[in-house]
Amino acid sequence: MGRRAFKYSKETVVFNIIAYLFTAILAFLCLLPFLLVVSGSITDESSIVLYGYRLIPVKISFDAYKIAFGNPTIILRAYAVTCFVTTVGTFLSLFLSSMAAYALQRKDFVYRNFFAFFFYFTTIFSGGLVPWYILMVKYLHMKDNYLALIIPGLFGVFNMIIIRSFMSSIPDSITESAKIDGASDFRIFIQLILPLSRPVLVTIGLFIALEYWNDWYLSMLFIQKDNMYPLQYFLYKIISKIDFLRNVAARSSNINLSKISLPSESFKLAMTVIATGPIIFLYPHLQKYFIKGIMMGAIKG
Amino acid sequence: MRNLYRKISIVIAVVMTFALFITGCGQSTQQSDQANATTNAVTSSGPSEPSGTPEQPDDGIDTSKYVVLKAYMLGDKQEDHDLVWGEINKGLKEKINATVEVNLIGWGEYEEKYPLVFASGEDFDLIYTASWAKYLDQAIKGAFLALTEDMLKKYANRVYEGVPEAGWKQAKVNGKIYMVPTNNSGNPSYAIFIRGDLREKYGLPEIQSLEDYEKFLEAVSQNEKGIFPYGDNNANNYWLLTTVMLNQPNNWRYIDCGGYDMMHYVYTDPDSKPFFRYDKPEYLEYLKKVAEWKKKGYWSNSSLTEKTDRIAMFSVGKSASAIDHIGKASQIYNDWKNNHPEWKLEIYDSSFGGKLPGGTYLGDGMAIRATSKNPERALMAIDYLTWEKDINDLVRHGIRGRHYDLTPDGKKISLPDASKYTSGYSMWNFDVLPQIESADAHPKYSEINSSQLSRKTSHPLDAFALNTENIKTEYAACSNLFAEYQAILELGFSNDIEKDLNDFITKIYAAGFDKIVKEIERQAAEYIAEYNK
Repeated sequence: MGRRAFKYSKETVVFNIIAYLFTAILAFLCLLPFLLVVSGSITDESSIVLYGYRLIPVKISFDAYKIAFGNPTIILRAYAVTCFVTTVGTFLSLFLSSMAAYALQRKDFVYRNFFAFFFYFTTIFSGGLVPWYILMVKYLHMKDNYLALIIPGLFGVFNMIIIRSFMSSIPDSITESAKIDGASDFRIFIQLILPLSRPVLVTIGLFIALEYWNDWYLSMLFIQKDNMYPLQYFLYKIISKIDFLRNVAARSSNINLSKISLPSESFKLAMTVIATGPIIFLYPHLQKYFIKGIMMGAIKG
Repeated sequence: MRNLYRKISIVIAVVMTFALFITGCGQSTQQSDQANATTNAVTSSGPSEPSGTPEQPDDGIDTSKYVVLKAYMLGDKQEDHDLVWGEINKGLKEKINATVEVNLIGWGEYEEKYPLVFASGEDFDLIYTASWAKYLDQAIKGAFLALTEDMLKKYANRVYEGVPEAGWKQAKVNGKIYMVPTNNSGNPSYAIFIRGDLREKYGLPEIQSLEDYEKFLEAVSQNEKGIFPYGDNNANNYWLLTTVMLNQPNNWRYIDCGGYDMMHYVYTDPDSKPFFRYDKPEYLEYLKKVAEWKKKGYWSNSSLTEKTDRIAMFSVGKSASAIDHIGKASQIYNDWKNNHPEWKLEIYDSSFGGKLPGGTYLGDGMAIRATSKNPERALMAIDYLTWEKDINDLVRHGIRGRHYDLTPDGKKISLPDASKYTSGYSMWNFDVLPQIESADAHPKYSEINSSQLSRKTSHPLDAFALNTENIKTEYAACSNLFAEYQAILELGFSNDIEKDLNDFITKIYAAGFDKIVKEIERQAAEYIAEYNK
């Protein structure tokens, strides 16, 4: 017969149309700034000044990309540094955070409340910028060292708390039965708990990875050598230079500051595209884990 | 039992929230306390060795031990930085048995990194400093070594002779000199840039006065509908129209109040004290004139929110004239040679032959860290980098034959590799007078530049900067008001000038401006007394 099992009612159809329309417009509005960035990065600099930013460039020019890739070793090196720091950092951070989360959710761990409080306590206070800098540079000798980019982000207390909440929803009986069979705690963790926690690990992993990918603050403070700069730091340097030239330099009567060349708008946008490009391409692949993770949490309740 | 638990948990929750607030407030003082605790002020007097003849720096100075001096400068690392400094260090090693290792702090980060580098107790010898780059802050904290006249005469005599007396006076903080200024107090005047081809098209005279400039603006506004006669922006709270049309003719200059034109002084009168210009009749007259120009459409209606650099607007042809630092002329001149050969760049002295303010010698300089282990060698390095010709040429221009070359009459031409070593980092304190002319500068540039330099005056308040420590709240409130009203009034956007001006004055006095006035007067008087000692 080829007929559907049930018919959509009229109200549902109307509702669907409105819902789709609304979401589509919202999605387009979110996409708009990014489209402007891409189009601006391939526009000729003088037409930006004359006509402003347009969705369709008035005059196309790949000059900005030419300048950015003019010295490809720097950009490629920065990519390499960022990828390295992100992968190593995310992996280690996930591992450490989930280990701590597992230990804290085990009900037979006598001191778990004390440790939970201890972790939480560290998020309330901070010694300030200068003591941290002195600690890193003078005592831990982490200046111009990749460790300085990886270590500060290794243990996020809130990440650990989220993982812990998820893990406590895994039935204790699994752990108990494994113990009866003679497995060590670490084996239980690696072979039973981690596979079951895949949704939360992927979600938190993505957050951590984004943080590592986007970080420029750590490199600003601790990295001096220019062959160790991550990608975001480049972008930050350009934008802050533009800010500086516009505000301090223009006001100051020091004529030398006016000799510093202002990086062009299109160059700034090109750098943005280069820095965020990979993430945009990676996202669709990870999306299915996100959705799974959200749905998992809903059913469990 | 349950009730007790409840009460305890509520108490703990309240205490925790308190802790949060207290941390938030305590953060900033913690930082500065640490900074003060970890820096120590070391003032050292000159060494006890007998000084030889001032002209030969090596006389009587022991340079047998090889020393590596660590220096911090601001800016971007140039592509050929290592190459050029390699050559510089070769020369330095020969002459004073020392080399300089340069580390760079980027433009956007020097606000955070500069104090950090001192507070963290890092070991270095030299650092670039300037009035706009934290000189006063750090000098007060004792981060820099106090330089005595003896030390300067012995180790850096050429520098000592090279900087005029006003420069050394300006560099004094609490009676001691903490930095080596440059001998060039900068060109504090500006130039009017116009499209010469448009001027010729309408048969207008060269711009020798404000009336001539007005005629040009009128002609463009009437006849060229696609271009704005004048282009400006509100990106940095500083409109050169005011400087050219109001301050310059009356010989007024702003007192450095951190970027807001709160008070002014008359720079041609050595006894001039700070005054408030906003209730003077000249200011009102100026506002009316500017509003008139705006009504005639001389500049865009979006100037208040415009962020584009005014020179960028001018060089792509969005505006027909601009007022800016004369140093930018070469950039446009060369750009138009390639892209718009039919446009002619003409520049005119915006001071129209009047006297110019003196400017500060502290715009660029080098300081020595108070805890440096080799202060004497560091001073010698400054001396050689500034006055030893072959070393200084390397610092200023790069390697001859790779980055630049000289024409037979001594002008500088840029070679294709010139972009690999530019003056885009803070080597400017070594960029002393006399300057080498560039062969591709605008033909009128050196004429106007030297004419302006010859008309410079000198006033004790030239390098004075307001310390806002005691008036923080009033300053914050008033600076917001200045930022809001000045733009509207001085770019001609006000519809009722008298009303807006009175509003402005009433509001700032309501926000405590008289306290600021008293503070400025007091600090200025103290500063002048110190300066004249």
